[in-house]
Amino acid sequence: MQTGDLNVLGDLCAGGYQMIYNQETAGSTTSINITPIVGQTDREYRLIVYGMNPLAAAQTYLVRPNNNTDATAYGQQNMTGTAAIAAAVRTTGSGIMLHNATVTSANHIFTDMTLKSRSGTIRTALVNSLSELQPGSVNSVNLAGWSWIDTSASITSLMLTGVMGSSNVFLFARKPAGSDSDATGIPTGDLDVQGDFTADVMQKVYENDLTASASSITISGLDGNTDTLYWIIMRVVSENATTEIYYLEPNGDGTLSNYGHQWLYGTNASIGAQRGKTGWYFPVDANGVGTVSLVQSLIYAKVSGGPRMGITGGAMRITGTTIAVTDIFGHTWNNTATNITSIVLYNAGTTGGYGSGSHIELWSLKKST
Amino acid sequence: MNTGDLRVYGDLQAGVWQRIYSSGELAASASSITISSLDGDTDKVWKLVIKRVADVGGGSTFIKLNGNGLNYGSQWLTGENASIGAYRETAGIVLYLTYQAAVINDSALGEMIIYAKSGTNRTVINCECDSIRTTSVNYLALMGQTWMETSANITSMILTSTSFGSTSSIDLYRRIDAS
Repeated sequence: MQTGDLNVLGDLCAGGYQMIYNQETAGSTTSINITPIVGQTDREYRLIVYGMNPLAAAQTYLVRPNNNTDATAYGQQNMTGTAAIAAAVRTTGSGIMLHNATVTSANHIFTDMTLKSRSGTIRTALVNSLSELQPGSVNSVNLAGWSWIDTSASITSLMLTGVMGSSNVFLFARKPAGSDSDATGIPTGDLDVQGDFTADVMQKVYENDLTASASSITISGLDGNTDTLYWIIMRVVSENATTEIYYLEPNGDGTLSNYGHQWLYGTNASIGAQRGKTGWYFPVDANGVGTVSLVQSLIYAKVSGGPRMGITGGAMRITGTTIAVTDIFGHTWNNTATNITSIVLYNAGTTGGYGSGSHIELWSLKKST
Repeated sequence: MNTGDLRVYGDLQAGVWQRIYSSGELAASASSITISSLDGDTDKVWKLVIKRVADVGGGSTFIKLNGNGLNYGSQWLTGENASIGAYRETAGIVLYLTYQAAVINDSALGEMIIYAKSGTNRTVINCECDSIRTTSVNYLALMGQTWMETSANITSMILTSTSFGSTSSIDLYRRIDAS
């Protein structure tokens, strides 16, 4: 069935993910309790948090299912890149850390967490995050796996703790498919949405399969203040033999010092980390003819008093069965005032770094109205 | 048009993630799961989420695209206690997602993005936390992977392991655009 604009005000039971909580807070909060939720039926959550520490003291931000504060109930293994140091640690804790390092005054964090919520086994989570060092610089980027040892309690709330001066919190839930017994709503078969689809979901809003090489690709018509979150995925096919560096430029801002990054990577048997202020560059550098890279990046796009931030992961410079580098980046853009209306993808080296066969998608959060 | 709760039994052609395979929570252990009737050239991008619980043995979860057991490569970035390391494999026979030591009831969680369209090598990014036993998360990995097959449409994937124990779950998502 075809439909025009569709604005889903209730549950979308279509076998995808739907945002079930979003709260932007301008004032200071000591905790945020997301409730009620039903971990048994939702099975999987994705929690995205953008926040700022307003205190002079360092802050540790935690999320606790059912506000369980047992100091022996949580455990983690993490990898962190901080300046030139790549490190790993295994610890226990009293909650799942939204970022593995403490966050100092006036600095921001951005976190993307997946949590398996159903009882029967211990609950597990994957956390990707970054924190600011100071405006314009990234302190550290972090990847962590967490456990919560409770195997029986139904998760009915997620309690975020730590003082935040401003924050924007998103919780997505895995929703049942129409054919699942716990699905609800007006039944429909195939649904072909010809108009705008606003349903508190991430939706692909731009796609480009390149048939000729390009050095610069502009994705326009954006509204970062409304969309809030973007997800970019791109496969880059290189047609150049020379070294290339690929950048993402909100609103075409080409001043490299306006950006900060922290990089953590593995290449063959070596690991490394690097901090810089040299553009929002994607982990797709130093290509050769025919090499392929795959990159994904989650971006906090809304003007919220702090920098725009992103978490990027990639497999880059793939030739045959050899992957040159696997990595994770934390990014910031120090512009705190201008709405993002376009994103420019740009390669700085030889003309035509995005070769034929490259594929770019931009997804945006589409809230119901 | 506004609507309340919506229950979509068919395809949702709206450019959003939609689950096209779900194992549900396995009621009994399995060593092999085949996801068929796929169309990688049309879907282009997949998201795969695995929660794995060990009930016997251990080892990795292996994925073969189209049942093919050749020409895979991977680059690993790993954390194990205080050790951070890296590893590259260039003559692989599978894609990897989740690992369990041979301890019953260990858990693992893995997420994978697969660029499935033909024309170049197929490429993969995944992260996983593995061998999780009470508060000990024993292993963490971020990986890039590739399958050096540029032409065949991917129509199936075969997942194997020593065991996908009961309560394990596997979900595969795609997106479909409006017509």
